[in-house]
Amino acid sequence: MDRWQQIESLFEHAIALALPDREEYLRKACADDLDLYREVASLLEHDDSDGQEQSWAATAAAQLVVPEAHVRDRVGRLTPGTALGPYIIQDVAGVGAMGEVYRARDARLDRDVAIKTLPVEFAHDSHRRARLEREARVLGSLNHPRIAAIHDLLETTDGTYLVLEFVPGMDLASRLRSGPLPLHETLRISHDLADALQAAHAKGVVHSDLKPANIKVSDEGHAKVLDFGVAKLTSTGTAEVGIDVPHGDPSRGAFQTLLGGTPAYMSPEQAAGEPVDNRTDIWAFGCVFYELLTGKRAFDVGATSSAAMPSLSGLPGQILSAQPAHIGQLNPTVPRRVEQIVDRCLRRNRDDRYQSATALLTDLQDVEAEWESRRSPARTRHRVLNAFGFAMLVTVGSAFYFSQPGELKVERTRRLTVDSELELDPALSPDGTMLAYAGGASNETERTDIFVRPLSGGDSVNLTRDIQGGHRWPRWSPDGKVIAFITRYQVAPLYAESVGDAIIQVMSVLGGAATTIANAGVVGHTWSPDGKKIAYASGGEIYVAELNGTTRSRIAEAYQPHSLSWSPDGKWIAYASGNPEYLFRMLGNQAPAAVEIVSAGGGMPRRLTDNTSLNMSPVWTPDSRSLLFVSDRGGTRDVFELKLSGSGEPVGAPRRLTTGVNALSVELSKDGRHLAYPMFLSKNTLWSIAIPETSASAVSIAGARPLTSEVELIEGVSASKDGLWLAFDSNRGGNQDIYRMPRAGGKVQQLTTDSRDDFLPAWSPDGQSIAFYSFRTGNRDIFVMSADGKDVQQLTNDPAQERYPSWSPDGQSLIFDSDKGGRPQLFIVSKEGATWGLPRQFTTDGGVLAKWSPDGQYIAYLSGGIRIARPSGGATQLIVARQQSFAPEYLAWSSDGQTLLFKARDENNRAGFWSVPVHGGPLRHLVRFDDAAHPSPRIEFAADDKDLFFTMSERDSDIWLLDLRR
Amino acid sequence: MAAAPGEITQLLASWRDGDRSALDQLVPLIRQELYRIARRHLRRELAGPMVQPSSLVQETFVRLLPDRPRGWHDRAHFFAVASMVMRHLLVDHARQRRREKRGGPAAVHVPLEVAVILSPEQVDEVVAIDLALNRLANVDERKSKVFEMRFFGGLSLEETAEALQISPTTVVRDWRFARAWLRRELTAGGDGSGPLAAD
Repeated sequence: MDRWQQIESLFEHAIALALPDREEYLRKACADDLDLYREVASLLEHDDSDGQEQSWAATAAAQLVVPEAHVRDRVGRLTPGTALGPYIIQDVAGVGAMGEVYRARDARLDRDVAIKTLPVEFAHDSHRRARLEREARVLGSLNHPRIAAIHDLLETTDGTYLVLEFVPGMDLASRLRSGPLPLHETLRISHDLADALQAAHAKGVVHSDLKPANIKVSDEGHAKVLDFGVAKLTSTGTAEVGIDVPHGDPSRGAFQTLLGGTPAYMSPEQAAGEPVDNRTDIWAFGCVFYELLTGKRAFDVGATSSAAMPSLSGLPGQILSAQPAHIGQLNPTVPRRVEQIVDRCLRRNRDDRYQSATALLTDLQDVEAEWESRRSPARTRHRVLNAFGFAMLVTVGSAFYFSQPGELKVERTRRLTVDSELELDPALSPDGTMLAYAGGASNETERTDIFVRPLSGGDSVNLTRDIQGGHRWPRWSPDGKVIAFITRYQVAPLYAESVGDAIIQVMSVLGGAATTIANAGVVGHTWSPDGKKIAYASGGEIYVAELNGTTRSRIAEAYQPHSLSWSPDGKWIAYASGNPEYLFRMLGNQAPAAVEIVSAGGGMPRRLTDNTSLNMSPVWTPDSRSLLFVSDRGGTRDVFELKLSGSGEPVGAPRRLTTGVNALSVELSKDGRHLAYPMFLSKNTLWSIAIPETSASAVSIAGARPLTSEVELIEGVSASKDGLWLAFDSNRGGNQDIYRMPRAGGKVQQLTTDSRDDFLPAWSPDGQSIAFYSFRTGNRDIFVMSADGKDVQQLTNDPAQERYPSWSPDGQSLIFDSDKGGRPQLFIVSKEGATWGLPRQFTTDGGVLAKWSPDGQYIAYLSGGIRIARPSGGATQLIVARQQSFAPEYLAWSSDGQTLLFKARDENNRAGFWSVPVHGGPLRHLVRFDDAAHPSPRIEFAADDKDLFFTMSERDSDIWLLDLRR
Repeated sequence: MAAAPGEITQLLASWRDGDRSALDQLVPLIRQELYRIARRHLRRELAGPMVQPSSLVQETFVRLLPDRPRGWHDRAHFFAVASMVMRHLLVDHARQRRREKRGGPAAVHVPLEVAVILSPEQVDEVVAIDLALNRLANVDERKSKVFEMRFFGGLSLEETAEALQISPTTVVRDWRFARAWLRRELTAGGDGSGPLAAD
């Protein structure tokens, strides 16, 4: 007996036995032949005893045969040149399941028409033909710019044909293959569709087969609906219903609809075999709208688990019961009002939908008006800020532009990547054919790799698969042969005193070994135009290194320089100054930064933009006379252009190139024709989790509860001592403002409305005041206001950055950190009667993020770890040392003042909550952030005696490409 | 266009006698006939009952070999080839879907919404099963045939038994074994090679 027969025989004997007996039988039978035992045991494990497995593949294959057969039967029945009455067939325009469509020439009127064949049944049934003629006349009277007209009904001895308006352009189904459409285009198309429905319904005509394949979009972006009423006309049964199915036999309806198109747009009443009416079209409209917004079908019928064969009889059941995924989950940028319109179209019970296209159109017009007002170029700062919440969360990416002749103009937008992972740092090869980018992670804590792929599409190649560390910021050498990128072995904590673990490496585009060029702290390097040098930033300095890695020279000092770009003429290096976290530590971090330039030969930096808004990622145009950069000066992160004189002076104000694209960084091709950017969307919302009991081990973050549900970015949170209130900052209303909400849930109140950003509220111990820091002065300063947002007082006034205020328990003092001496130190400011005095320096050895203990005995803060000091000064005590593998980043006191709670990250940058007794005792791990979909990149949190309050993120980043023309 | 009835019989006979090229000629003929039959179903009644795969094969057989006493040879071989054709149809379809999904250059675009036929999971599964089935055929051709006829051809136990000239009990055994074997191959860690990795 050979091996295979042995296996077979053992398997057969074993399955004849009861489950519990198999093991023993097998062990005896196999004796000491362990391989044999394993082989049979693994087969038994996968044995499916009921034997009732459906041959779904055969059913699918049969289905595959059926519609193809239908098409093949009809293809090419009419050949080019054939005359049909006055029409000359030109070519086949399309083959649908209900018949084929030809493009033909109407010689009399000198125009193209579309000719659609009708089922042969019409030729032989005079009654049916008479009705067809009657209905064709009604349809022919539908004269509307958004509806493709029916010109003629043609009967020849060979068959019956409908002569339709020929509409050039791409159909929506084809457009949707490359993902969702930009919001402004979606709104325009939806408007056109509703317009068409309204006109047709007014004449009593129901489309009953509205779907993307039936909608064409002209070059001007307007939609035209094809085949209005044709589904009904061409149905072979009674003409009373659009889909001809006897009541009570849903499978027949589904079958026919499958042939007539796709069930994905079929309304529940159609699935149930009920007559259609206007509201059936409203449903289909909702399906199309949903798909335009999300790129996904609302009801992807058939895309179920493999166990559930999409048998035709199962389709109506799915349509009747399935719920589409929330639009907000698929595309968080869709405004809530738009979502509400879609929801109302997709009500199962048609009585709950919009009852007319007119009602639908009214709502659409409202949303459009809102949108139009936001994209108006002549808006004021304040309107823009109000719009921020809307625009930032809404835009899928509309790149349009107000241009003068001769100025840069956006011609076309393309989406290059669609993964759910983050794709960052796009770089275009000098010849304009390849894209390099960093990808492969779903949040900052995961490893990223450098990928390269053709711009035109195709597979991405992972260049750094075998290289240790996480890799970012690929930049092509001018000859396109080498890529320089950043490698980090560990993501440094936000306030790390040293970030020297990031290095620049170069490697061939074809792969191979990487060579280290330089150690760089703060990152974002650039090639010299001759490809012989690389400029990079490290700490507060800009260096130029020879490629051979031997010599490097410091050319300038600057404030937090990063994201460098060398001008093509070799004269200048541009960079962003401030907020390096934005690109490399906390993606999209909200803090200002300015664009600056410095001569490549060294010298004093020159600031080109303000440093009160976010100005990031400058890149040079080919003539070295303009910089393109990302700025949130208009509310959303968009691309702007700033022209420069030959001596590097700004000429005029920055000019907007895009609106609402949410670019994180920007990259320009060498010829200046293509602009690539990651469209980065994120929200950071407030959550809470109970502090585990003393005995318990660390709990998963999966047990956390969301406290806010807006699409917003929250950084700081504070719990009032009486346990009644939470205060937090949020950009939900436009820019960052302070809000409060009852701890038990309830209405959220906005406390600050200043157009500059306010962050990190801290409740005073008596609950009467809230301290925070704000950019109202142009840089961060400490402010205090009453708990209802009144009586704002400015406590510091210093060009440096003051932040993270914490109250003394008597409410008479605040401690905060300031970098006015260069290195961040702690300062204390105290009340002197009714006013606040001048700050005095508390630490001299560095310190940030101080928290006063509730009993007033200690001040805990971060400096080389968690440290405590007496408020009166004197010796400090290190409680938890910062290590490479364990970095505390934010802390809070337990309400009894006996324990320090803190957030820390391990060597893999995974966050967790920990506690440590202040008078000695073991560390305790409280909470693990172990949900990759919900990272917690922010450091801030708050605690009361029961709960921890903190933020978690959801984000997406895909790379888009704009074609530019001057 | 249609093959002469005798031609099919002749090709089946040649194939039975070991002429591989006969199979190459048979496949398109049978494929064509499958389409024709399916089309007739459609004509007959648009809202008619769902086309059952086994009746499709059966009917194709009746139409292709109408005037011959239906000996088991013809029948058996016809069933075998028809199952193989259906397998090829489905696997081709699945592979095309996968190419489209990967964003690669789409093959000829069939302007039909056939996308509902397989779910994304099934697309992957069909391709994986196809590869694994090839491996099974190397070890045990009969079991792979049983699986192919049951799973892709939709043939009943009895039809499969007749086609392969084995007892229905053997079909039952082979069918169960093949399913366990394939399921294991399709589960990560099966024999370590991973059927999906092969594509």
